[in-house]
Amino acid sequence: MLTDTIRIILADDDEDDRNFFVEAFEEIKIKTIVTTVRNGSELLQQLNDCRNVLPHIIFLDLNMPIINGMDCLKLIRENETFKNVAIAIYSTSSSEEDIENTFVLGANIYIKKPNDFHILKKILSNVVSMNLQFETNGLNKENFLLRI
Amino acid sequence: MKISNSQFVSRIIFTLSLFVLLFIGAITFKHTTNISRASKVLLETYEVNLALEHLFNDIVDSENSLRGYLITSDTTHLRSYRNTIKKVNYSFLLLKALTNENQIQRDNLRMLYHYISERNNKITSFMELLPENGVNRNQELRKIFKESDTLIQEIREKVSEMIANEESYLKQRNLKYTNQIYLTPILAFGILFIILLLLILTYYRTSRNLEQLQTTNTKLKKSQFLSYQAEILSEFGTWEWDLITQTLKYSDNFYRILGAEPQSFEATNENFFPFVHPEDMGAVNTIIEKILELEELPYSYYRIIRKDGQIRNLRATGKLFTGEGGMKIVLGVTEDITTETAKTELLLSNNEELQKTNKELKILSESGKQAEILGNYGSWILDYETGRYTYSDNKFRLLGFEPQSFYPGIERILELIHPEDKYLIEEAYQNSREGKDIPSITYRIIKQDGTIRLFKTIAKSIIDSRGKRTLIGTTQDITEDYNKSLQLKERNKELEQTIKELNEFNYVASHDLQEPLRKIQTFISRIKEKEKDTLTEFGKDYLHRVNVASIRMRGLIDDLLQYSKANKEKKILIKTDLNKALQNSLIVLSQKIEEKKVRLTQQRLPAIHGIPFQLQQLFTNLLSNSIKYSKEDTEPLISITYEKVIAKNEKPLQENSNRYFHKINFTDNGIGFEQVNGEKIFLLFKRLHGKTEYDGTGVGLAICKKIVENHKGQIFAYSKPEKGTTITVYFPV
Amino acid sequence: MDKLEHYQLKYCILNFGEIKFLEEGQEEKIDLFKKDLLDYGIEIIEHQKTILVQKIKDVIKEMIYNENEQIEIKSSAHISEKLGFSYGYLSKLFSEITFTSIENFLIIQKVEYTKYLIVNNHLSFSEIAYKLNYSSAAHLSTQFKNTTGITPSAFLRIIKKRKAIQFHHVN
Repeated sequence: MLTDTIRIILADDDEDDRNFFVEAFEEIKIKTIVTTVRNGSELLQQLNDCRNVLPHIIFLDLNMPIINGMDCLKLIRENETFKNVAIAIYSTSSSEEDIENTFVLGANIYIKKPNDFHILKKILSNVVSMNLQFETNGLNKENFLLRI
Repeated sequence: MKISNSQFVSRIIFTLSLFVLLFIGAITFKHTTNISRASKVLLETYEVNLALEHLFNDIVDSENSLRGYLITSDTTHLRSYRNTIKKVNYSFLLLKALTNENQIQRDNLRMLYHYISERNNKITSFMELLPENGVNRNQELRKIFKESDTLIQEIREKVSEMIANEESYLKQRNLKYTNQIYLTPILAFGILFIILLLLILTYYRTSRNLEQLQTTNTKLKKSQFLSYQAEILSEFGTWEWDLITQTLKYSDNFYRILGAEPQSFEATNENFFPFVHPEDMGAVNTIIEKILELEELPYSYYRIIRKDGQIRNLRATGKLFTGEGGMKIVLGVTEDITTETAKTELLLSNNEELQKTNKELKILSESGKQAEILGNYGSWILDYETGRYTYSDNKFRLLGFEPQSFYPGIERILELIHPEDKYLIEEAYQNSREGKDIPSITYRIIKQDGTIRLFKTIAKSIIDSRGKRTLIGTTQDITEDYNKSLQLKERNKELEQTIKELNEFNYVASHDLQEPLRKIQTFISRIKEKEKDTLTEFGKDYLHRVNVASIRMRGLIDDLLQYSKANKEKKILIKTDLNKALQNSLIVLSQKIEEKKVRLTQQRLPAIHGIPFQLQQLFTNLLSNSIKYSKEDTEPLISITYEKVIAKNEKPLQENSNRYFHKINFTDNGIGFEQVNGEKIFLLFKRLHGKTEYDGTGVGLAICKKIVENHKGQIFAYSKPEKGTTITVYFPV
Repeated sequence: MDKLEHYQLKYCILNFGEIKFLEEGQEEKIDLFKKDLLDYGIEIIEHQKTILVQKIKDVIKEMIYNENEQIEIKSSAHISEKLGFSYGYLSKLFSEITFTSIENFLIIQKVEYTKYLIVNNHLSFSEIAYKLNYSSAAHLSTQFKNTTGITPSAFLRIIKKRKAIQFHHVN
C-alpha cells in the first residue's frame, strides 16, 4: 500500500490554477491521479457517483460559483462516507478568519495558493506526503491540521 | 495695685492676730498663775486644819497622860506625857509657819499659845506638888484637874474658832478657785475660736490672692501665645535693643522672617547685615543711626534676601522704653510686607483690569449693533405690564421692515409668523406670561416680500431691581445655517458612504488583485524554470525585472489588504494575553530572527481586551520593522518593556486624568531616523528609505496605528539616527 | 498456490505495463486492472525494504512513546545501532519508500504526540517540551508551527471548537 497511487481531486473554477495544479503533480515523485472539477456541485456529483473510488485528498477552492468551497466543505463533512478523506482548502485568501473557520468545519489542510510554481510543487508534495504519514502510520486524523 | 492692697490687708491681719495672740497668752498665763495660787492656798488651809487637829489631840493626849501619872504615879505615863508635849510644840511651830500670812489666825494662834503655855505652867506646878501629902494631894488634884479642864475647854474653843476661821477662809477661797476653774475652758475655747477665725480669714485672703495670681498668670500665658502666633501669622517679628549694654534680642519670628531657624545665630547687627538687600544697606545703616540718635524708630522700609534667594520687603518701627536703674531699651517690630505689597499691586492691577473691562464693554455694546447685522440676529424686550415690545433695529430688518417702522405687539408679530408655526409662538408667549422658562424655539416667518425664513428665538425673563418683570430675547435668522447644516449632514453621509465604499474597494481591490498577480508570478516562475535554456539574455533580464516589479506589487497588495482588514474586521474585544500574542508573532518571525541573530529581551506583558489576531499582527509588524531596519554590522537587540502608568504622568497622552494605561516599549538598536519624522512614519505609504535600500511598502506602521486605535490606544515613535528606535504603545487598562 | 499465482502475475504485470503505453483508448480499463494487480505484486517485491522501513518507524515510535525514558539525543546512532545498518543506507531507503526523511518522520511523530498530549492529557506546553526532550517550550512551539503551519494554541482552539460543533450536532 505504501506506493499506491494517491487519488486527488481538485475543485477550482480557475482554469489556470487547475492547469498549474495538474502540472505540479506531474512533476512530483509521488504517484498520483489528479481529477479536476470546475465547481462545488461538480465535485459533489463526482464524490456521490458510486462508480468512482473515493479520493485520498480533496482540494477545494473557497471562492467558487454555484456551491462555494465553504458550503462544499460542510456538505462533505456531514457525510460519514467521506470521513477518512482528507480535505485541503486551496485558496487565495490568507484571512485568519477563513483559515480558522475551515479548520473548525473539518478541513485538514489549508493552502494559500503560492505565487511560484516551484513552491507550489513543494507544497503539494508536502501535503501528499504528510497525508501519507497519517494514512500509513495510523495517526489520529482528527488531529490532522496543516497550514501552508 | 490690687495685689499690693491685698498684701497690705494681709499684713494688717497678721499683725493684729499677733497682738491678739500675745494678749490672750498674757491673760492665760495670769489666769493659770491665779489658779495655781488658789490651789496652794487651799492646800494650806487644809494643812492648818490638820495641824490644829493634831495640836488639840496632842494636848488632850498630854492631859490624859498626866492624869494617868498623877493617879497611878506610873512613870511610863510621864514619859508619854513628855512626848506629847514635844509634839504639841512641833505642831505649834508648823501652825505658826502656816498662818504667817493671815493676821487673824496669827492672833488666834498667839491666844492659843497663851492658853497652852498657861496650862503647861499649871502642869509643871502640879508636878512639883506630887511627892508631898496624899490627902491634900487629892484635893489639889481635883482642883488642878478642874482648872486644867477649863483650860482645855478654852483651848478647844480656840482651836474650833481657828478651824472655823480656816473653814470660812476655805469656803471663800474655794469659791474663788471654782470661779477660776469654771472660767478656764471658756477662756481656752474663746482663744481657740479666735485663732480659728483668724486662720480662716487668713486662708480666705491667701486663696483669693492665689486665684487672682493664677488668673493673671493664665491671661499672661494666653497673651504671650497670641502674640507669638500673631507674629507668625501676620509675619512680624520683634526685637529689643538695650542701649546701655548694647545687646540685641530677636524674637523667634524675626528669625523666620529672615528665613532662618529661630535663635540659630547670635542676635547682632553684624550677623544681621548679610541678610540685607545690598541696595538697601544704606537704608539699614540710617535706621541704626536713627535708633542710636533719636532712641526710637519711625516707620522704615528695607528689603532682605533670604538664604533661598527670596527677596522680602520689610517695615520696621521702634520705640524707647526707659526703666529703673537707667534702663534704656528700644523695642521694635519688624513686619514682612511682601504679600501686602503684592496684594496692593494685585488690587491696582485688578482695578486697571476693571477699567479695561469697562472700556471693552463699551466697545462691545457699540459693536453689538454691528454684530447683530453680521450675525443675522436681533434682540427685543417685552414689558409685561404694557404688553409692548421693544425691537432692536436689526430685528425690524430681519422681518423685512425699516428700523422702528411700527409698534410691535403680539398680534402684529403673529401676523408675520407662518400659519403652521403660529401655535409655537402663542404657546411660548403664554408660558412666559405665566413665568415659565421658554426653551429655544424654531419657527418660520413670512416676510413682507413673501419669502419664508427660519427664525430661532431664545428668551429669558428678568426681574429688575424695582421688581419689574421683563422678557429679554434674541432672535436669529437661521435660514442659511439651517440650509448649511442640512447640506453638511448630507455631505457627511456622503463622506461616510464614500469612506465605507473606499474601504470596501480597498479590500476587494487588494483581494481580487491578488488572483491575477499570483498567476502572473506563477507564470514567471514557470517560464524561468522551463525556458531557462531557450531565453535570450535580454529575455532573462526583462523577465527578472518583471518578477521584481510583481514582487513589489505583491507586497503592496498584501499590506493594503491587511490595512483594510484592520479597518474592516469586527471589533469584538476579548481578553487577550499579550504574552501569547507576542509568542505567536515570534514563531511567525522565527526564521528572520534566526537569520539575523536577533537578541530579544522581554518583560512580562499584561492581558488586555483586544482582537488577538490584530495584536499578534501589531507585534509582528513592530518586530519585523526592528529586524528589517537593523544595522548591518551590529547584533540586533530588541527589548520589550512593560509598565502600568497613569495618564497624567505620560505627556504624549495629553490627558490629565488618573486613568491607568498599559505602556509597552519596543526598543531596538537599529538605524533609527530623525525625530521630526516621528509622526509621519505612521502614515499610509510613508517611507523614509529608498525602495532599493530597504524593501517595504510603508503600510506596516500605518497598520500598527490602526490596530492600536482599534484598541483605543495610542502609538508613538522616538528615534535617533544610528542609535535606534523606541516605539511606545499605550493601551487603556 | 496463491503465492505462485501472484508470482506469475508479477511478470504479467510488468509486461502489461509496457503494453499500456502502446494502446491508448483502453487506459481506464488497464488502469483498473493494473491497480488490482499492483497491490499484491509490489508488496512482494518491496517486501524486504518495507519491513526494514517499518522497523525504523517502530524504533522511532518506541523512542518517542516510551514514557519512562528520555528520548536519546542521538537518534541516528540509536536507529542504526538497533537495526544493524548504516544510517546513510537506512535514511536513503526510508526516503525512497515513504517520501519523507527519517528526521522529518521523527519530527512529525513528536508533533503528533504533542497534539495527543495537548488534547488528552491537558499537560502544559513546557511539561510536554520537557517530556519530549526539547530544550524549551519555545523550541517545541516553533517546531510545531513549522510542521503544521499553526501554533499550538491555535491548534487547541480549533480542536475545541470542532468538538463543540460536534457536540451541538449530536444533540
